[in-house]
Amino acid sequence: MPHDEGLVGIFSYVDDLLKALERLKQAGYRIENVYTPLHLPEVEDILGKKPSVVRLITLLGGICGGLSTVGLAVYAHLSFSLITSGKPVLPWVPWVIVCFEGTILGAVLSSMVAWVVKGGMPRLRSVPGYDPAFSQDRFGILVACTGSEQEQVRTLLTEAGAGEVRHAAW
Amino acid sequence: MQPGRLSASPRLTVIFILLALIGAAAFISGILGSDPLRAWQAYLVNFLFWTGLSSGAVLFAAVLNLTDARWGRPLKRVAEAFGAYLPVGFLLFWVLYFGRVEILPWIREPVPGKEIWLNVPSLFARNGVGLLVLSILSLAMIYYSVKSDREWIAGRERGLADEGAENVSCKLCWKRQRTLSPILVIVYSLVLTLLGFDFVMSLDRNWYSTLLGGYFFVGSFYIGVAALYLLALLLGGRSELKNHLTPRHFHDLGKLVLAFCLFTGYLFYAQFLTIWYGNLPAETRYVILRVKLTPWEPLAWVVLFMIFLLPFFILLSRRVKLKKPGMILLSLMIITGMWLERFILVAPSLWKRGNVSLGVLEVLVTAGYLGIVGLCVAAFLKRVPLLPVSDPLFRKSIEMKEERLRP
Amino acid sequence: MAELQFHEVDKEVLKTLRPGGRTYWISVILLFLGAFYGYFVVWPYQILTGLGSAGYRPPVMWGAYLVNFVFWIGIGHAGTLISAILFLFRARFRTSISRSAEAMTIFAVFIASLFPIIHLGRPWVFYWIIPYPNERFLWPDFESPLIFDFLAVSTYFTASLLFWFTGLVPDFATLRARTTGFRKKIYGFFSLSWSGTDRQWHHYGMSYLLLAALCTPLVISVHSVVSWDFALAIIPGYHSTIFPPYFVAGAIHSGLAMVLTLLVPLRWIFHFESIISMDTLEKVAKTAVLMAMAVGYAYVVEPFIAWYSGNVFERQTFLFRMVGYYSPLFWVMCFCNVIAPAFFFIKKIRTTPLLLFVIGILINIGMWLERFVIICGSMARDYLPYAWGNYWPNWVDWSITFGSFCLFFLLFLLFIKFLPAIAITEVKAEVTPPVRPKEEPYAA
Repeated sequence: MPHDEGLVGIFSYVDDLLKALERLKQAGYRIENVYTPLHLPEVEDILGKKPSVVRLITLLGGICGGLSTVGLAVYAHLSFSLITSGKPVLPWVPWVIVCFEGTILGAVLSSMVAWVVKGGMPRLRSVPGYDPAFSQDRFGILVACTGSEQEQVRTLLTEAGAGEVRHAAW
Repeated sequence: MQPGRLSASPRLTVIFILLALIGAAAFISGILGSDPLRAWQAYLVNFLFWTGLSSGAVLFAAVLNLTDARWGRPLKRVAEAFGAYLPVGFLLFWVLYFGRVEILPWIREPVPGKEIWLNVPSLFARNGVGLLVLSILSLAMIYYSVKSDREWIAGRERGLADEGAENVSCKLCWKRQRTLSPILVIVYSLVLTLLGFDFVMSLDRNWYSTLLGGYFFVGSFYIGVAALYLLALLLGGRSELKNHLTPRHFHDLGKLVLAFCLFTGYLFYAQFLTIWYGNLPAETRYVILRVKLTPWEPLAWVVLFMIFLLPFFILLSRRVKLKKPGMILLSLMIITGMWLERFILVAPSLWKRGNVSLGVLEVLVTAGYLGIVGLCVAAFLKRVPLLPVSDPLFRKSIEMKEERLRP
Repeated sequence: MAELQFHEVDKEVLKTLRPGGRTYWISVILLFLGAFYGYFVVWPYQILTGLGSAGYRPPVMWGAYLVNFVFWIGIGHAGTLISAILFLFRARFRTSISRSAEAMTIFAVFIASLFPIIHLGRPWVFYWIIPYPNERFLWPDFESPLIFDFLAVSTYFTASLLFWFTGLVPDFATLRARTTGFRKKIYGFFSLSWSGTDRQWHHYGMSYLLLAALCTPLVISVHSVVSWDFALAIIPGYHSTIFPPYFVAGAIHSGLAMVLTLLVPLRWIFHFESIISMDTLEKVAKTAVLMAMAVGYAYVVEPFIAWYSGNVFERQTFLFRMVGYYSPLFWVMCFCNVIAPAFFFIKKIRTTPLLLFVIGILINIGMWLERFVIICGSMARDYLPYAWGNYWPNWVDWSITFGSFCLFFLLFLLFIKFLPAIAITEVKAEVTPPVRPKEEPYAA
């Protein structure tokens, strides 16, 4: 969405933030971002999000990790087919552990990559409308709106309790 | 909030009584018949299974008290209900004395060097004392829990104000429960370890495993939690409980069942890997008989699927945990699987005839035990408030539910 | 913690990041010298002269270094327990201590992972254990518990580091907002330009939950794998099925004791009483009691089964533990690991910070001795009486052990000065959320 503009409302209180979000949603405005210094599940409820795809990526990463680690072990043992202490060349009993560790490693790495990439990080330019106060003790809503709508949005935000409303363009 | 009691239909009581009578008849005809070993074996497996189930369920209530947990509070009374069977179980234990020659092979052929541990008087004395202490402690904890609720309800009916209505007696009962809970945990682990060592490990003269006691009592807790899950699912639709047992509670219980499925599987694997790797004949004899030789091998795989593999993959999915009929079937499968697991721990050491001794007799004896346990649980739940209304953490969990962030 | 206001959280927690005083820098320098002595003076000496200079000779070829390895991995477990497992249990008391505990884990696991290299005779070929195609016609034997160890510990280190870092990212954003200049650039870099948008929190929250859920079985598997280093051998005293849960319980025990050892002084020095409440410390103490009971259970069951087995080798191993050459260590260990923490049953004792600290140190001593008694004691008296021999750590062993402790405390001191020692974002989620007070009316 290049070259858009909108308004950022800065809130000090959580209930104000949630009230503003509900009103904005009901009025049908496009809510670009909601900034919070902590995770608020209520925000996600209001905005109506699907479960994150990170789950699926983690599962797939785990399966790949487990299979590849056991695959490595199988390849290594088949290279020389040595029999050590009377155990079979490909012993499944101890390789439960190998598979398990590989699964966890694969899942952890893919989970990490997933949330970083899905969050659009790292980025060179800062997210539009972001204010350092949003990482401390303020909450914010970035609403995409043009010219005429801006007055209505500004009123809505102020009535809901925004301490400050700024203009943002990106 | 009505502290209701369970109104079980008289038909259920009749069914339980019938089951108990059928089981007793089958058992008595078995021991008087041509093959008493089979009947005694079935009795022993059932004794171990149901004692583990009920003490495991009561342990859940004790652990709730120990950890100040709020999520499981509504289930506290349902968990304590299984404790009603414990005194009966203690009496049923003494019946084993009459079959001791059949079920304890070292009586016919004493094991040299182990006589001071493996002899009849000390075995029955120590297990008897252990079960007695376990029953008394469990009943004491349950007693204080129920007494506290009864007094609280009586206080409400007399019209005391809600705020600060926790009179001194309720506080004392709560304090006693909290003192008894850690003691119960310690006694549970020691008594069930003893049961495992004496009635599972000693059946094979030369075998030993340091983890068997731990495996036995953690497995029993797994059975107890699965049984609690099943009972909560069956009772959850009742009006007395419906407001308090939300889907979230069932989801959490499902996660707890998954956790103990994993824990039990882990303990099994810990024993299996160590014994497989060391390959010492004294240790492997037990495992090879069950896992590699006919006739027991297929049963071992069935057990693995029923108690570990299937529950693990099914319980991983969030959606499945919320589907009631599926979860009822799952918990039934886990309970049956663990019964078979106790069976496969015990039976191959005793039954050397080349076939798997699972048949009508085992089903009937198990049904008999089911009837007895069902009678105890139903009788208990009919007389007590279903919800732990005076439990301070229960009250807090209700208040927390009503807090909302939204304006 | 209820007294702390939402907008005060940043300021309160970041008190530790103010420039350190003289005591701080003197401690850092002394610890650095100690670690340098252990790792850069004595270890090169050992590499040059060989392992024999460290007191290793048959039959005891696993000595203080393996003890340290198991000890430090064990210390790391409490961190994962507190941050991952208690997160899954939704235990609220974990919030104020999870960050320091996780940091403790990472430093401990890092230190532990050096010890297998230190105890090699030819440490310069340690990379042979890494499975990659090579010209030596060699693959590691994937059936060996030492390879499981390598896989498990490296997975554990990676997972703990990523989990810790994930938790730190929003805190780095806070630090980025509150600092200037060079520090701002560094914190900004590590914050990955985190902005706290709803989309970011959505994926982050799911990932954090999954990482916690993954770290939980991982931590149990890691110390089980470490225990299998011993249990899969057939030496009496090593070969025991109870080792995995026994070692995991012991690891959590020593880790919680180290948490008490680190956090009680931290709380006292920086006046964190409102954030790290006495209730939190009490709960840590109660968990320590539970672990003490688990370890005590194993202390009873193992000798019993050794006797019950009728195996003369098992019986003599446990008799040796109780009355033999290392028996004073055994009895001190029983006291420190089971009896001393049992005092935490008394409420007065578990709510006194000084006693928490002292008993924490006793537990750590006891757990170190337990590993020593198991590892070295069993090797000293195995099957052949002709091959029996005693081992005692000498100055090289003690120096490197001393160096590892110095390194651990050094890393922890540096951590609290440069990174938020308490998870700011999670504390913000725990305090009462800021709602508009009745007295403040809305603007027109």
